[in-house]
Amino acid sequence: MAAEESKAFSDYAAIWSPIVLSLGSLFVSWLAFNKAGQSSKEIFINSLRDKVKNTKHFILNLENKTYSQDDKMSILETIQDFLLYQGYKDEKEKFLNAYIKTDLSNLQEELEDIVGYILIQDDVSNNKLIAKSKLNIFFNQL
Amino acid sequence: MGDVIYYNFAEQFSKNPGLRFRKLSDFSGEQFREEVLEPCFQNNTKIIINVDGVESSLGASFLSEAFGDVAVKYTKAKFDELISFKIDTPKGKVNYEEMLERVDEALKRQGKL
Repeated sequence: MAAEESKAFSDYAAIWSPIVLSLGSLFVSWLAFNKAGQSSKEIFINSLRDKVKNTKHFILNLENKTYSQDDKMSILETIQDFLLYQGYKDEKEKFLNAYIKTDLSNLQEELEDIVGYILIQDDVSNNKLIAKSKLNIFFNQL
Repeated sequence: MGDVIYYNFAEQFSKNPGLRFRKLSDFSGEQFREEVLEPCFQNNTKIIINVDGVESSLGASFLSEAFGDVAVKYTKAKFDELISFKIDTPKGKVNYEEMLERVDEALKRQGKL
């Protein structure tokens, strides 16, 4: 009887041990993956914060002068790069919630308009304040 | 429907598209809408836009003003029937997807989506 019980236990252990070990290994992998995922998110959000700050400083430092078409397009491209325009699609999808994604998209469009008016010297100081305010609001959401 | 126009954006409009309004920059979204897109809707002509030669991106305000406004004015169904991009390159695909997003946002703002 004892021998039968011992054999049954051995069979049981033989079947379940690899499964338990596999599940344990899977859990450890999941923990590592999750930790790495969080780090990637933090890195992305921190980078976006820096870019928003850089955008603000860039706009506030725009000179009061007449800009050529090439100057305007170069400034526009810089702002587009700062605000991840047409880039980082996977990261935005993965790390930003729907509200922030929409706000970022709206911010990209609104800032082009505001900067456009700054570049034609239309109410420059007020438009710089509007740009600063919009960027601050977005920054605080991150 | 009339003929199909194959439109080379860089050669026929600009390699460096501008901002939303004519008063803000040359080659604006407003100019593109009035000179290129509106006639397509008026003549019921399909247009396939090739942006491969464009040096910079078509900006958010450009896309919204040019494409969003005609979608609002002529309905999304008509827009989908007439407006298309050449999307077999990364640049074409990215700009096409961005344009569709700006069109949807313009329609939402007008309560038409």
